Amino acid sequence: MRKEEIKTVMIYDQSCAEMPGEGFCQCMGKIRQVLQGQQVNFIRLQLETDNPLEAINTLEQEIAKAGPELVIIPATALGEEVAPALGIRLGTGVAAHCSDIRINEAGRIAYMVPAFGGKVIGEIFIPDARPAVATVKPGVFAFGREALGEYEEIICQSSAIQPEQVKLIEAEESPLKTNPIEKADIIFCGGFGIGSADSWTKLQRLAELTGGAAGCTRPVVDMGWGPDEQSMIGTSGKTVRPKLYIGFGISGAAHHLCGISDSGTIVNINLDDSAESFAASDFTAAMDANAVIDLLLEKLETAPVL
Amino acid sequence: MNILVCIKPVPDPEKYGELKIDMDTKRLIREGIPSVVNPSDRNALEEALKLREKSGGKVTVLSMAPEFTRDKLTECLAMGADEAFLLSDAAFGGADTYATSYVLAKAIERLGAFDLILFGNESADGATAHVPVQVAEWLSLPHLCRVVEITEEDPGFRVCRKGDGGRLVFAIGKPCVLAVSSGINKPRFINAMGIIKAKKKPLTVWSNEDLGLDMDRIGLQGSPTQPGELITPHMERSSEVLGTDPEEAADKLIALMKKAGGTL
Amino acid sequence: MDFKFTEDQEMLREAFAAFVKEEIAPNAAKWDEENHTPVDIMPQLGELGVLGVFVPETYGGVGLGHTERVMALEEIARHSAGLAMMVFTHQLGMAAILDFGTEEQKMKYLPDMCAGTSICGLAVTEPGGGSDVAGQKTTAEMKDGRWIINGRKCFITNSHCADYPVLTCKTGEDEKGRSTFSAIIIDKGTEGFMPGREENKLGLKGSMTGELIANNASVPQENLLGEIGQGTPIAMKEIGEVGRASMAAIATGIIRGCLEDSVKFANDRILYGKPIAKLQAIQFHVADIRVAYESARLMLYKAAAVKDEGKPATIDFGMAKYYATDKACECARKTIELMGGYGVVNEYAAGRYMRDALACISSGGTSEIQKIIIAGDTLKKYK
Repeated sequence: MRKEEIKTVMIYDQSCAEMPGEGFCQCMGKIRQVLQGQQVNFIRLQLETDNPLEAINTLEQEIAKAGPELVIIPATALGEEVAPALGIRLGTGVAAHCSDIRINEAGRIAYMVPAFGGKVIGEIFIPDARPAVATVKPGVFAFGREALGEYEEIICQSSAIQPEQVKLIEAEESPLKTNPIEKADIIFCGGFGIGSADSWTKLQRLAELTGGAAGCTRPVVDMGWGPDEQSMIGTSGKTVRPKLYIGFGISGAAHHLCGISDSGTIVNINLDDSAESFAASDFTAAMDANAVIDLLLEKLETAPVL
Repeated sequence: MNILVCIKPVPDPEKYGELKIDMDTKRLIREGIPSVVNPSDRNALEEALKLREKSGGKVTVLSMAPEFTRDKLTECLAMGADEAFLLSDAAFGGADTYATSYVLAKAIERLGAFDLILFGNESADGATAHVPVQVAEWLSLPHLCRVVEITEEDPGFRVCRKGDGGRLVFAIGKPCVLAVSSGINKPRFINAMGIIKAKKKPLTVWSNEDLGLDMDRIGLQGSPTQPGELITPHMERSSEVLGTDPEEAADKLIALMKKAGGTL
Repeated sequence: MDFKFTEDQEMLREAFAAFVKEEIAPNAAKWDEENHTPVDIMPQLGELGVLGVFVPETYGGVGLGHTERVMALEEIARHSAGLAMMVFTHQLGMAAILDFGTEEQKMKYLPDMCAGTSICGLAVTEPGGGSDVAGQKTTAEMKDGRWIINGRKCFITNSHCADYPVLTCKTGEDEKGRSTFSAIIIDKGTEGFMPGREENKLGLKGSMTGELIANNASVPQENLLGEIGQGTPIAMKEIGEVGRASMAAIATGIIRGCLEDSVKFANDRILYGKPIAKLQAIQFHVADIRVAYESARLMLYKAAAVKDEGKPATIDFGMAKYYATDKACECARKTIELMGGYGVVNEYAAGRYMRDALACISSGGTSEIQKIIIAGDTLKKYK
């Protein structure tokens, strides 16, 4: 697809009806940047639901009506299930988890898609099928409300009647974090090297003391040391861009590093000075990460006003 | 219960650090990186085996992959699956998730009726998490991804899914397609008895001659997305030494925190 | 001549390696440091098919051979030579029961032992020495249809955890007045039978070694393994073929640990702006360790193949054991040297490899004993 072909872009917004969500702003900002100087209609398709099937059915209908050339879907748990289903229903291609959208030298739109755990990023083209569908992880495009331009809105009501085939019978909300990692200026991130649930608790305490947030890598979630996937940073978790990222006991797998590469200052502390995380850091300290955690706590707890 | 598990052999994710791009062909150099059964697919198989232990039935494994990966299917048989099918044909090569799911769906139609079709939520290599949903859509079956709990409950299943805000519980009818997250269980180890038994279990290879699919629906030709160049992201930074002892490191960290606006 | 594992063997090796990687490797250093014997892992090893891999299916085993058995030991010893020691000693006793036991004995003991729910061992060595078999002083006397056992065994692996150790006891004298011995299975719970002191070993921690003391321990007649007076041949055969094979496998596993760790270190460690792997002095060490590993492996699996063919393999295993244990010490030392200061830091496993390698030398007969056996055979064979 060439960029001139794009007349209408539909962006699926999962947030509430009243106001465009952050994901919508980020995606609209990105597409406006990519298609600079081009007249494009934006449609905000809003639907709040926990049932993927309901979202798929609704989007299928609305896309048929509006006829966009490009549909952007947030790569949330719900969006990741909606996009590929639309691919089959509309007979089109889906680019998953775009980390960037670019125009190449030939003027074609390339969706940059990470693979092999973020080790490589591949270009994906959707030459003929329409509309092209792309999913984007929340937080990948750093645009705010100021990036919004004009757009049309399609506000959809979630139906009270659940589809018979897949019926939502129970929803258990996890408590909202006071300071989610996507918003934090300082992130204390624990990797496998922290070794215990105890250390994870200490990282949370450090976050509390400094107004930052605690994050982690996949092994910490898998080991059951405390955090859930909401705290996980990387290609399969959150993309973060704090002013200061401090990694403790992080080996530096590509899929984690991808999620922090836009951070201001990156510091890593790891006993193993050959850890790949060191090469991706501004500052490194080859020492026992837990010893540093303990010292930081000691200093910050005993001298709260520094 | 008649359960199908779809699996994909992938290059060992633990070796992705060793992957390199051939600068001339812009292709990935995979040599020396062994194939393994995609990690979350092993969770899917484990879940199938547990369901079979509870309610009896049969577990069939299906994969679309090059012939040289057939030992990965033998591994699934050794883990406890009853039968395996490998879809292998040069014509299937280069397929995106759209064309891949089409071939799998057509093979499933041919295999007969299943009560449940299980997938791992995403593959370690491509990680699109598309194929489970797309197979379900081709077959017009209900589907759910990111599944962390499955209980058989008449007339279908009670399924717990990780949603964006928390856990969601769904009732889903039979037959259906479920894609499980790696947290759902701990896959059993393959044991020596399983390996011996696996040799006596049926493993069938189907080519496109068996499936008889249109060439323009499969492989690269049947794919609406086309791959372009590969790049390696550059993440190197200066790696200055912050300190040589924890005391020094901690003090410098506190200074950095203040600079970053920490509420110290 | 085929130097490859079969497809099945390769899959088996991968299955063992997968278990070792997840359940053994992360704990090996801790077991060593805490001198802990992980008895709890035995049922899992049973489930995996490691313990009874060489035992026919009728008795709860897998029905494969000794090639597969030593392969499993190599994989385990790659990360925990100590645990491999417990596993092999268990198998040593099992092999004695399998080779010499009655049908009833095999059916009674082997299924649980294959499953890892009961643990076996073979107790021969006494304070007087191990290789001096004829010097054993433990006695078993027949009284009212029961064996009354008295004596003390020492340096016995699985001493405190074996449920059914097999003891060799003096049960008589031949016409020339020399002691004759019999092998008797003894239940851990037998009154008057108990473990004595537990040794604090240099290496191979993760297995326990200690004394077994019998003080008028009364054992039913049917616990006799094999014929009366067959104790020495039983001990010689099992130690010679199963014991030495296992020590060769364990030492080969240690060498592989040295190989993998030294390569990783050489690639990761940057000195003067490049990995030390670029330095020839380091390359020489790596090459030596590689050659040692390949040679030890060839000798080990060749001997195992001979055994699986049903031919006598004592000499082949003796050579493999002597070579591998000797080289394991050398390779561990080279690994320590290659790592410089890090080699002596216990965060790295090299020091443990060194201790384990040294501890391997005496088990199953010292290098000198092996050389005497090898020389005896060589002088005959090449006359």
